Amino acid sequence: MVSASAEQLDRTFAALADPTRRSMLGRLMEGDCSVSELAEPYEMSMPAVSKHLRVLERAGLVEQQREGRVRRCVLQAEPLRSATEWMEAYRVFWEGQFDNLEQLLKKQKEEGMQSE
Amino acid sequence: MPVVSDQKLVIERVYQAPPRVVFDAWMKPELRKQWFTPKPGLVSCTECVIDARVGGEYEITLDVGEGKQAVLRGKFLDIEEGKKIVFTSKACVEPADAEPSTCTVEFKQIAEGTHMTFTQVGFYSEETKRDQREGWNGCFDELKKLY
Repeated sequence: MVSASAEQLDRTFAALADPTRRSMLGRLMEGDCSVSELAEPYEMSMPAVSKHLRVLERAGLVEQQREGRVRRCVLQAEPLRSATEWMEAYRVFWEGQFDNLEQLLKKQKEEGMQSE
Repeated sequence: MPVVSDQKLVIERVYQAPPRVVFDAWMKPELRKQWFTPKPGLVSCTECVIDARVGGEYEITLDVGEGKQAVLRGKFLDIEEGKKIVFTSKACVEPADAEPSTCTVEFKQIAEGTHMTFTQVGFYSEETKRDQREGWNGCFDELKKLY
């Protein structure tokens, strides 16, 4: 059901476990940008930003591409899709159960079993 | 692009029944058994033990066919009669030391009946162990066959 390797998922989840990195991914969803543009909203040093970027790169979520002197950060969607797929499994499970709950409540109502 | 900006799974439902009735369907074993199964009436929820108090534990066993079972267990962290249930959730073959996820179900009275909000957190925590995820996937694979 989930095609990504367990190791890949581990890296993805670890990368997503940090609010700064999630916010960086949010920025990159709007479009590619340079490292300094990516760092702009945060009150942290460049080395700290680079550290977060490295985690995202190792997880395969971001790729840095050179354009002359500028490094551009590009979002890579595939690992994110795998992580979402995994969470989707939970959603399918619960939604199935909640459909059943609806059926049960309807049955109770028809049988007049809901009187308080 | 899927949104993975948050670590939450949120599902909302509206039921045409008072909050009290929906709450009971979660907490009374004889009622929970009737809906907490992939195919009500066909596949049975073989066991359902619910110690409905804060700190109390629950264990639900689903018969998923071919002699296989899916087990869900956890502990109640908070209970507000007819309003809210907070519980931890662990499934199947997860190792004993794996971090469980936390689920919150809230029931709000509305004109049609009940607005239920289900929230599950704890998927992306760094502590989440690989075995835990594989355990869940195994469970879901089994359950998926039945839907």
